[in-house]
Amino acid sequence: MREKDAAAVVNMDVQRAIFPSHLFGGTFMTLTAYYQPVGRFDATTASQHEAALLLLLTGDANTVALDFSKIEFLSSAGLRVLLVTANAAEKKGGRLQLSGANAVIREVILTVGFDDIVHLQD
Amino acid sequence: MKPSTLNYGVDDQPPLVTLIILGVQQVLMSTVGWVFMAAMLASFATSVVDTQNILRMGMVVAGVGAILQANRRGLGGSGYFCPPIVSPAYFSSILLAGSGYGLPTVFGMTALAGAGEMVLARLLPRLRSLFPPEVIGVVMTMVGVAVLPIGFPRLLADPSTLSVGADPGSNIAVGFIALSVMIGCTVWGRGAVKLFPLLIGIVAGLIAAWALDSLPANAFQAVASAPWFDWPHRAVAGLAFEWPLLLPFLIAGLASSLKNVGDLTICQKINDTEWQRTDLVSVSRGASAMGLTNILSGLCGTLSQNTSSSNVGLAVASGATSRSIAWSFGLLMVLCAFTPKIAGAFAVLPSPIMGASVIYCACFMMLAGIQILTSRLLDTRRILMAGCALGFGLSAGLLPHLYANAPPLLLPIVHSPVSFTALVALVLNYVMQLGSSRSLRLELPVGTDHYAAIKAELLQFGASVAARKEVIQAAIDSLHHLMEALDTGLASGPVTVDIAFDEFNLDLDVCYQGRPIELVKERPDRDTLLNDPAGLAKLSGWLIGRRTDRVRVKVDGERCHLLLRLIH
Repeated sequence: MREKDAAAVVNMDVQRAIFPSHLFGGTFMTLTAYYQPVGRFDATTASQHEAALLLLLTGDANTVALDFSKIEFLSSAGLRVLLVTANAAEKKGGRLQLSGANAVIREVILTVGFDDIVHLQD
Repeated sequence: MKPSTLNYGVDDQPPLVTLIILGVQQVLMSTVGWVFMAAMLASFATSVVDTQNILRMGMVVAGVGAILQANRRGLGGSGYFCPPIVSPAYFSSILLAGSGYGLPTVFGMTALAGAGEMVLARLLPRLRSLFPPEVIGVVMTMVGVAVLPIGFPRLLADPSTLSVGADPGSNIAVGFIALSVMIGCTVWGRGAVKLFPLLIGIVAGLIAAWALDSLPANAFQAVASAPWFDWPHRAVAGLAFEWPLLLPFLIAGLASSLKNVGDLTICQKINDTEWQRTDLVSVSRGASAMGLTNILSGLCGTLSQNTSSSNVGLAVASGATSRSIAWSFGLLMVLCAFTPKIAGAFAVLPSPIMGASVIYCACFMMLAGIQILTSRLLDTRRILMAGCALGFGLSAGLLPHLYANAPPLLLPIVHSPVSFTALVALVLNYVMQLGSSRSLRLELPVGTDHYAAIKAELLQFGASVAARKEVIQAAIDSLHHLMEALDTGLASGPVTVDIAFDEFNLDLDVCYQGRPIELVKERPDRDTLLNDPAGLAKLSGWLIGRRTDRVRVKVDGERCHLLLRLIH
């Protein structure tokens, strides 16, 4: 499937804000990056989201807080991005948090069994 | 599945004491109907003795009718607690028969119309296409709205509802105190308080009426002077039939049956969290029981009855819908008929308290209808159908003088806002279906972003057939999962999607040239998803299986068909 053009990607309203999340685990500190995609999390946007999310994890951040409140559809390609991001975060000692997902998306994440790698909130 | 909001579902058996109190509460609710019956009889100058006898026979028949309705075997019934009450749909026909021919004709034609209702009831399951959920939703909404003109004049102490010399201010206060207590018990009450909100509200209203000195002056005197036991008698002997009255009575029977469909649908809906559409077989049995009740009405010498919306509303409000309540209600009604003192005690209920009771129950009935309407996607045709039906029904209730010159044959319809709404909804639903299609074909080229197109087309189609929103959303999601899988190289040409809807199923036949999608039973593991090039298509196939109720793949040479079914 053809990916959305650059203008559409800009419309995804990617917000990058790195801040300490007050989690001091004795010897290390967790830094959380906040990411809010807009629209769909599917094959048309997967590669841009994957690149953006991995970029967030190249710096000091080791945890990604993904805000899905503006996502209306999550496909298998989107699920793969979640898996790749969660793996990358885990390698840095962090994790992938996800909040704001609607009931259908939440159900998809639960039925595919991703709730152990994606920490659902709300 | 029984909703968690119900204290006693239709199959539950409340303890005996609770059952009796629930019966008393329901009998109190039905007193509004007896006031209406007395007013109807007064309109053709029936004597006081005849009126009392007709009322008491009506109580006997209502009691028997409630039990018949709750029964599911033999001659009964829908199996729900849905007691009868005097039917406003018959008002004009009864007036015509009573003033022109006398009581034997009223009773004879009532029995005949009851037989007509039974015949119509048998036909109901075959008329399924005439009763789609949006039509039922409109009728159910109007069932609640139609009782408001009975409730509000009483709550707000309209002079026509008060005895001479009564103080409107204190009566309004009594009504609002009763209504506030009923609402308070329902919202914040626990246990018995939540179960008997109407009864507690009525008692609070009676205490307020006593404190404010607004109880009817002769109320206690009438109760004290009434005998403990008296046989109810038939007002006049014999049945008479006048053929010119046949059509008005049969039309009234039709109007009455439409109201029964609405009330019985509410009974079904409140007892099943997974309710999706009216079970017309159960409704047919219920309507048949009402027909039999009306044959009994004629034979016993009382007026026609139909299902009581107020009582159904009370069952919803108190969360007590057990069919056993029909027995306590029925026996109490018969007891009232044989014990004028008890019947008199029920009858002294001050008018503002009656108004509060009716409005309290109407809230639940109106919202049950609106919930059904809003659960469906509605296109312009259906919005117009629903709007016009509600509009005409309201006009009949609020501005009855507009229909004063209606043809006599239509009077039974236009005198009942519910029946008028139902008829307009039925006719417009039928007419609006002309030219509309229940199928759709989509042509989707591969390699492009289809989501917006699929969503727009399916939402429009869903609205045109009034499909449930969640089913259409599942179809949109499934189709998009599929297109994403086909775009990984499975399809080599355009994809055709044939969509068909028949109220019970939404079927999608997806046809394309290429390789079939793999419908895996086990979810692909994470390694497959990350490293297998076919991993995404496999996960899409698995997700489609989870989102739909049936998936089949058919390969015909190079053409592949994926047949998806979503149960509606």
